[in-house]
Amino acid sequence: MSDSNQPQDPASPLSLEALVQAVAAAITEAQARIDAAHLADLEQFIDENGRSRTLTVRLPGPDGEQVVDIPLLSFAAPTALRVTEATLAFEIDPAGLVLLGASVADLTPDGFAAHATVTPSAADGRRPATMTLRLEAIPAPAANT
Amino acid sequence: MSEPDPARQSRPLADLLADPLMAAHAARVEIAQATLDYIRTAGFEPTADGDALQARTVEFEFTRPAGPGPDGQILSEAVKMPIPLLAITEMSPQTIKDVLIDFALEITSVTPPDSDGGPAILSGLTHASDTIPPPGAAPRVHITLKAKDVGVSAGLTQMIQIMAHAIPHAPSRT
Repeated sequence: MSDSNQPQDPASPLSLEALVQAVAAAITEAQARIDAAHLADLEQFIDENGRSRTLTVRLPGPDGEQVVDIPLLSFAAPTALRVTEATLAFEIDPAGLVLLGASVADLTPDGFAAHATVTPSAADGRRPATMTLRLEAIPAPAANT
Repeated sequence: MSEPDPARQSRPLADLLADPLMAAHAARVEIAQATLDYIRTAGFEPTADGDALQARTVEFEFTRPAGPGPDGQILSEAVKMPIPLLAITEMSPQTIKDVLIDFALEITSVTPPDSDGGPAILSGLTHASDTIPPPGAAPRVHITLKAKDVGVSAGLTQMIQIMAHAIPHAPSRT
């Protein structure tokens, strides 16, 4: 194993691209865990033979009482939780800020839209400025049905 | 020698983001289960033979006009109608619609991108977002994460529709 993947000192420079991609990857992984848990919950509504679990109920009807098997899913269908946005605010040294000619959009990983703002915290520019980076998760296009 | 405080141990950023989201998810599952239990107990009661549930009903009695009688007078008839309790009860399932996670992160290590082009991995310690870092402290990032309920997925919606259409065709076991 090469040393290139060994953790490095956080005080050493971290490129904006690496920061954005690391955060986006962490969001994607967190979302994958939520999705897996959501799928596992759905399995509780389906029995081992793949049939929907039901409540057997007797309902009054015009022709007398009838027995109906109602799928549990129709009572409380699980809804999905989705990460929509992450905002990161951190201090940067304005003296070390180099404009590379690359826009934030160039640094943005697939599936996200990024917006960045830099707010100077002092008029003399010697104190750290605050960079705010907003990552918006772009919803996957709906499948054609 | 004292054990390190687990709350102060550095953890991957994915864990720091996923844990509160998973807690919100678990809470949502419990709420859904409570809704199901409420429907089961408030809307239905066990039948005498115990093989099914019977809808709890309230009986409405009223009289209504039944047309003219032989002598021209308007007759009235008494009507009894059992109404399922669930049909007349306001039932709005509760859930957590929006999740907002806000914390400050002190970056403790950075694992560079791997050779396959995978992203860098950040590890860090969390802090209350209003604490002020001491001079010389490791870089700190304030993170706000928003998640929301996006409803039932398209596939599940379609499956529920298929099941809903199937119910009237189920053989009646009166």
